[in-house]
Amino acid sequence: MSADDSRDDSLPEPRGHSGAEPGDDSRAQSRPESPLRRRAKAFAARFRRNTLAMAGLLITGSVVLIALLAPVLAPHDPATVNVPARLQGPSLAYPMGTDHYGRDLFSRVLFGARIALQVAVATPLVAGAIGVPIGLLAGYAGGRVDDALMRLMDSIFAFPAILLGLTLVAVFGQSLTNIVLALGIVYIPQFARVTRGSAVSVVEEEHVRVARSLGASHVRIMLVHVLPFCLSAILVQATVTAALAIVLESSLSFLGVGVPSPKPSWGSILRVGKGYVDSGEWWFSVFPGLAIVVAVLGFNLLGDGLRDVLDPRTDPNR
Amino acid sequence: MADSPPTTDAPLLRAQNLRTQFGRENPLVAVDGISYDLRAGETLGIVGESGAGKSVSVRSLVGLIDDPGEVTGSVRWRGEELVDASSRKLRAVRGSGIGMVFQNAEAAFDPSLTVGTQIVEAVRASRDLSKQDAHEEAIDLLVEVGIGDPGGRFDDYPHEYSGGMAQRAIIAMALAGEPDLLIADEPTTGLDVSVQAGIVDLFRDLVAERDMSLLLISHDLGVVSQLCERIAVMYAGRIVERGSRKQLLGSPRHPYTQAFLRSVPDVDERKDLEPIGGAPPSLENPPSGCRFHPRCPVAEAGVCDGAAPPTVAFGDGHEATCYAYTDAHPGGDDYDREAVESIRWDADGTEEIGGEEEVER
Amino acid sequence: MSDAEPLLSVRDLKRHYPVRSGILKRKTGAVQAVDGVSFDLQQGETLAVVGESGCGKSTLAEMVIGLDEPSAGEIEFEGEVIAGGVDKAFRRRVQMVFQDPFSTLNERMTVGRIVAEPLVIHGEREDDRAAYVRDLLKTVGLDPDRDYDAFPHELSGGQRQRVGIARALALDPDLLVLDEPVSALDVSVRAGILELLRDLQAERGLTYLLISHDVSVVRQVADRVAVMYLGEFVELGGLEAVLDDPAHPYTEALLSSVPRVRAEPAPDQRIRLPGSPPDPSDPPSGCRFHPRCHLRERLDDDDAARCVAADPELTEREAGGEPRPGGDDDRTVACHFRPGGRNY
Repeated sequence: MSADDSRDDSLPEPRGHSGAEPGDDSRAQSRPESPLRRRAKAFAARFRRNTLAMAGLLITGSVVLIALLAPVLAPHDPATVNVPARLQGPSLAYPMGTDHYGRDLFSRVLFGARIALQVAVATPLVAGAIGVPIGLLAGYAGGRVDDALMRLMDSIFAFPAILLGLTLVAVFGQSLTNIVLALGIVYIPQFARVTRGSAVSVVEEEHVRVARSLGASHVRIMLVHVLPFCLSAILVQATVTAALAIVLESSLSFLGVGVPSPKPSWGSILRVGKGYVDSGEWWFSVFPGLAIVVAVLGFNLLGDGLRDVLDPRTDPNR
Repeated sequence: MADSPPTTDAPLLRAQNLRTQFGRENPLVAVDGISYDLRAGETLGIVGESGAGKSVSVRSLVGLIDDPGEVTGSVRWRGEELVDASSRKLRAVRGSGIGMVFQNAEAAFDPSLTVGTQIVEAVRASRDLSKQDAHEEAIDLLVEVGIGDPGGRFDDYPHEYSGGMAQRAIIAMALAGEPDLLIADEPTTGLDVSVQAGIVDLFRDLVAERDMSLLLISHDLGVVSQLCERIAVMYAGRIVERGSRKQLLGSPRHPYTQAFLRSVPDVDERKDLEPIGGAPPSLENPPSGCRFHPRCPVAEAGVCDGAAPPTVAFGDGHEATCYAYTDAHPGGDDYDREAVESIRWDADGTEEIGGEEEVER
Repeated sequence: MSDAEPLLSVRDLKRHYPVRSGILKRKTGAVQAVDGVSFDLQQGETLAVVGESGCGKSTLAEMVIGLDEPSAGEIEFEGEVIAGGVDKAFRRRVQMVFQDPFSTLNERMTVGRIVAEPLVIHGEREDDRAAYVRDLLKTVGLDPDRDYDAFPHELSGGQRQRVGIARALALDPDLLVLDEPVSALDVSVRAGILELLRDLQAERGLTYLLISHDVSVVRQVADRVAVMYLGEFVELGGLEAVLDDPAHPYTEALLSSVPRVRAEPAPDQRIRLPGSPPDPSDPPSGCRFHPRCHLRERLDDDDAARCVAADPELTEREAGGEPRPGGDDDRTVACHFRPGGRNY
């Protein structure tokens, strides 16, 4: 037996797998591509096969497009008051009718998507930037550190989100930035919990033990050997939080402490529109409400879909 | 492959051209047209490496393939067709005619019920016994599989059993329906050797005392050779060679069988190990012709990578699916065709041509 | 072989895990995972520690590699005591090849990064890291062009284990602890990995501490064998001496239990061990093997009482004063009656 032969199980042909996990061959053949691209391609392929994720992407994608193209799409200026045209029902000129100042609701809902999107993107970023390191440390360190950090998170979590949001906005002052900051703080515990949850199980995995045996520092183990395995859960949490943030921002605006007017937040439109339901001007509240529902649905579908795509065990298409 | 040599009695189990695939577009064919007969009292071992399709093939026999798996071909149990049989009928067959033992004993039990309860349930599911009688029968079964103090262990939960004992209890459960055939899928894998040897003993005793047939799936040739009179070797979803234990281990014909035997490390002797080159093929996109040809030392371009290889009979039920024994293959030093074709087994099986001496220890 | 200073010397190593119970988590006992193990490992040799699950062989390996701290005893590396945990310098000299090539590689890293990991951690070879890693991949029989940027899931089991070996070699260690290096692999792949380990030892003068439950694997690569039962070595000696002519009754039983591949049914010579291994938190008195020992039933009452009363030490003894077959084996056995009293 020559030395060469002894290494045969790595000969280029055929490229096979030892049974347990067939189905990766397509990737093996495109090996010369960069590793990241191969991963991205595989992810995209699985994403495309997931109906839920695709529906979510379609909806959130539309919201993003609408937000970006609002100035082009809107037939009227969302802030221009036109009192003679006030409280008109939906028509060709005003597809969603007008509000009590005669502003075009359609244009206001389109521009409202900008605020919703800012909130949906910035809130998870703020919450994740603080919650993820906390959860990672808690899950990795375990013991007392874990107990202390998670009790702290629980105490934040114990406040009803709307109350906490109200309080923080009251403290910070009413502006879009402050609202995002407040919402971010509200959702820190969720990120910490989700990160800790996956970190705790990853820490038990063999490759972490191996890294320890090689003498890797705690920071390196956390960042290189634990965090990457928590990312999918964090990403799913981010989409869920995006949806929750839209709802919470709308609620704050509905209560009058949200994004200050004249910015057309869906929640504040709804707040005013609510007063006109009894008198028959249904469009005033229905359309902004629908906008909230659609956007939230989009992010939630995307989150559920991502969960399936990222976790092969629950993906029915795999 | 052709049927086994004809005998007068009908086989207990006959699989014909059994094929199991997963997925429609770009299907993964885990089992690709295998056939075998199993007669009453026979012991058949199926060996192969991971991904060869051993487990899927036995699960396919008794309708344990879940969506999106699809089983075609024919499986006749006492003459009755099982492929496409109703799930009710399959359950009945699994409950009484065929007992199943799988590798992971802990997972086969419901952790929230005592072992005794689960065996009683299995007994009552297949036999019309009173609770009291079923209880006694369950105790008897535990005794039969060698669990000491069965009365005391009856009310223990599965996690209170050690690995070897849990495996014995699973065997007791498989015996609850007084099966005529026991299918055991890697029943000793993961157990310590001393425990494993006990389980091997148990199977041997059960087969002898109950006059059962045994279909044993294992990657461990040692275990198979201790329990099975007949052995089939699977590679990439197909049976490549079959024969009696003596034929297969004493004078293996298929290059894969030969290479597999050479790669097995020996407990009693240090030898030059010879790994099999390459890796097992992808089942989604298997090699053309003989699936072993990319790794085969005697593969002949234009022959072995063409059509599926023919099955060559060497007499007494010994068959290999390989071109090396046909005129299509120019042959090599190792494959003296005339000698091979003229070989017939002696009663004492000392003859060795083209075989591997070192495995006959 | 015995006059040179050993590379690794382990003295009376113990690892006891506290057992706590009740609401107050009081310490109520101790699992004696490893209970007084001593051995020397010479440069360039392979010592195999063989035993069944729960015998403590993995705990022993973890202590040697520094993943676990001994409760008592000491580990000397090149004559220096490794005390109070393992420092970075020692970590570089001793590396481990792990059992499961599917879980011990970080799935999110490419093969190149995995193999370079020890270099990054220890700040080594910052200039030619990639080239060095590619060489290592070649050394273990992988193709750098194809595998350097591959992810673990794109490799077969055997290839993954080669990656694990390349990683263990990266810091050019002296001692490799091989923890069940082929148990998770298919038979045909196993042979390739064992050949590779043999070649590497020959080329690089590596010293191996092989942990295995599989006697046939031990047979292929070891120079000396230690048989472990319930936290203790029961027999330690040259490969042929221990495996061809086992002295301790447990070694005998273990070897007889291994299923041989036989074309003809052989006469059954298996020694059946009654019961299952005892609980390591409450080991039997005297010789830990005595409740299951097949030798004991042939002893007279006084001798049998000795097995229950006194724990036999690993000692060197000749069979009836005569040199045993195989000549100068430096075998030690922990049994009151073997090999001195072979008539039993």
